Amino acid sequence: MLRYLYRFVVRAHPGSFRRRFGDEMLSIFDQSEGKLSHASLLLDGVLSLFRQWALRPDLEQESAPSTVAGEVHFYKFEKDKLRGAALVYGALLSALVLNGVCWTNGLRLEPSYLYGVATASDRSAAGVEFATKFSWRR
Amino acid sequence: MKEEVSPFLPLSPATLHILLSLAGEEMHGYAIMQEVQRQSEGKYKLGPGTLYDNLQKLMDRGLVAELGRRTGDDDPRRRYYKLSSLGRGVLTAEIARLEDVVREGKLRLQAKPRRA
Repeated sequence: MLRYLYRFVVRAHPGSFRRRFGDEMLSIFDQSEGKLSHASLLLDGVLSLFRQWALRPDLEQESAPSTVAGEVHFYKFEKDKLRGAALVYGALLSALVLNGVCWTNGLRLEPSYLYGVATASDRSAAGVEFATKFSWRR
Repeated sequence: MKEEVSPFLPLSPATLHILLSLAGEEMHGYAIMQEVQRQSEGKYKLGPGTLYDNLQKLMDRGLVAELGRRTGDDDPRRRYYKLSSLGRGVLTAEIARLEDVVREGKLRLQAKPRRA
């Protein structure tokens, strides 16, 4: 379950980063042992996901080829365009994965806490309060 | 031609530890993580996300070079990295800077505070 989530998080990284380091990140995940270790790697992956989408605005630029002794070892031809909704997508994905991690570890967070969704009783109470205020003003 | 290293200083803790790890030998990502943990006696743990984010920046700036995969490795997904000559120069300058900071700190802490 955690590996599936981690692979999902790795795949959600920007294309250039994923192609360059995705396999290695999964390799490290496979080498580490223990549920706690896997959970911390997953959290690190989610933070990395946020960092790559939100704090690396130059990610769509072509990276300089890595060279050793004058030889080009890595180069790619396709471009990674930053989509307009990338930040929203990243934030939503991070929230979903975080909720998934908490849920698998028995610390399920209430959706109303995460997203601020009011319950039916909250809404009805707010409606009564609003109606009372409105009638008082008239 | 000697490149100017001062624009790279001071180094962040993560960058310093990564460069220090690679100063000895070529390493793959997992070995860098373990070496950082060993250097800091377990106090500083680097996750893969932080590691590769820093490695990406270091490679783009020419401080670290990627050597690619090695045949016969336990895991064919591993790639190896090494410190470039510029990276070694930056690390040397940072160590010298930290030595100055430590020397100055010791001097100040040993000196008795003056009365106002």
